[in-house]
Amino acid sequence: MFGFWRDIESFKKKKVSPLSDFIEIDGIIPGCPPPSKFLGNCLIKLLEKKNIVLSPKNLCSECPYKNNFRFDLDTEISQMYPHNSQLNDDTENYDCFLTKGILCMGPITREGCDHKCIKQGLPCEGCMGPVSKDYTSNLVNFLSLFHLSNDLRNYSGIFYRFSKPRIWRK
Amino acid sequence: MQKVIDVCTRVEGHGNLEIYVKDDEVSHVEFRIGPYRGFEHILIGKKIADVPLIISRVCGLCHASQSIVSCKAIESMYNIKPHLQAVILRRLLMTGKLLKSHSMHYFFQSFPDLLEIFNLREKSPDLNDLLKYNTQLTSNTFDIIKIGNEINHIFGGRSVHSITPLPGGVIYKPSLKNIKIAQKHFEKASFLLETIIEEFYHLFSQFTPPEEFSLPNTNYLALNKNRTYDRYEGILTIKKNNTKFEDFSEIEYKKYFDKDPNLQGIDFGSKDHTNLLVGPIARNKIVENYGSELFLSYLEHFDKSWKNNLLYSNFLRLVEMHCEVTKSLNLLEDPFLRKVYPLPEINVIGNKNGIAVVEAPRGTLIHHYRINDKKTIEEARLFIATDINLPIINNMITDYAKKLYEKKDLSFVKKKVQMMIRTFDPCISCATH
Repeated sequence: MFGFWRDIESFKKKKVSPLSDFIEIDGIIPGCPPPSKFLGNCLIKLLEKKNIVLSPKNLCSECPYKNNFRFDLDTEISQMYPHNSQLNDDTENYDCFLTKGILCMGPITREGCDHKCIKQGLPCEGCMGPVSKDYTSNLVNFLSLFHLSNDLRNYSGIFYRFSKPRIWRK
Repeated sequence: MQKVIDVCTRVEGHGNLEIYVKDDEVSHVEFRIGPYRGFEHILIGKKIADVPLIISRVCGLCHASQSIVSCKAIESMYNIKPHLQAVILRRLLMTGKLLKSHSMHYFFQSFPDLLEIFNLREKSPDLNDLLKYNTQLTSNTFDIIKIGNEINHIFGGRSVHSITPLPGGVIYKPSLKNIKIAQKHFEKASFLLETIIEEFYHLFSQFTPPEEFSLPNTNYLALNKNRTYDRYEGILTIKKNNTKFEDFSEIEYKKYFDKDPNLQGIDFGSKDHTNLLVGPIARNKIVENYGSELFLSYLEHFDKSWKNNLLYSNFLRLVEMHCEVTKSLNLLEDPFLRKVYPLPEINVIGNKNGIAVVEAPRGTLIHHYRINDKKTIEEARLFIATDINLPIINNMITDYAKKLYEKKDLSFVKKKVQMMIRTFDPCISCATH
């Protein structure tokens, strides 16, 4: 009647694709949301007709807790987020999340967000996007190193939350 | 039938204006909202801790309201009450976002239109003209937008998509330095808003607003706490026929409105098939006490013709900002703000249905989740302000366009109808959730 009828079925068949599949783009400004200083710098670069250069490093390379990481294959990663009781304990926060059995997307996410979530005691959810074009092989490496619990293995939408359109690209 | 489509400009999101002309008469006008994004479907199967983070991405302007109402809905499932410090921090976050949202709407969307409607300018000025027209207003507005962002950066961790609100509370321990910075920001905002409000009534209060913008007889819906202004908690009230009040808790929302199974996408339907209006005007019709004495003195400058007019909402937005800033200054002095409380553990499900409500800047926002035994979402229903307002927007713009088309100039109709849509301040990003 008012024109807000929508056919959901037709949307289900549609694929999500990045903008660069349709038009020529000047560059990519990653982040959900992009950090304000980074966004400003990117816009200045575009105005100067320079290319936007994205960092090739991952989040762990600059992580404040990187020295506390203890590689242990037996640690089962079973939590997506810390429990509220884990957040309450201050001293516990000074430990790598992966060592504690909490899934952190830092190893496969681009750095540049100033570790805002990690400083608050929350693991990285990957909003800066994949660190390299070869995201799937990065992901396979990551999964082969860590022992994910069955619950998380069967849970969809962890790894491709901020990168699905790029992965589906031909 | 001839169909004319125009892009609706200067609104939040991508919307189209469709005018249907038949036999030299406008048959109806639709404000058509862009593609359906399916957040209610994305949430199905997600773990509870994921929900506030995903739902925040519905909108870049109303993200604080979205994530806070989502946390509240989850808390109602687990029967936990956040401690007082968390409530204060959430209120401050909501104020920061209200400042940004309302000031952007007033300056970029409404103010140029108001200048044209009251014949103070021949055509509605673009941004560059506006800078020349009133440099002080421009700098004041940008300052307020910045203050809104800064407040969310301090208390939310980042200015967009806040990190700190979690089910059970807020993970943030405000330092004395940050509280002082926030205090300075709010004091500045209070001063700037007073000058903007004074300018508003000096410019416009002497005029009588156009009749086309007067509101039809409709029902209003808003959250309030014993008729006082409160956007975080309280009871929902429907005001019928401008006289009868009906109070109800958010849990009983199905008695009054629900998702219409015949519609898909934007599928809001009220039970008695009457239209509901939410937003600043509805809040004004229902709330008797804004908690600010200054507010009453400002209201006296407007006569009765303004009170039932859509353009009055622009003034109400400015006043709401001022009220919230005054309240926030009091909240910052609250001794509970500096006390550290442990977050309550969320383990035992008390209720499989979680329903919560807050007042977003654009109106009532209700989230309803149902979870299964595996603690994943089974069904999600989001009731968003612009969805609720859409039937009224379409009715009003159709009537307006019919009157305007007597002059037989479609481009004129397109321009004027867009002005009316902008006054409603629709958030298309939220509406296409």
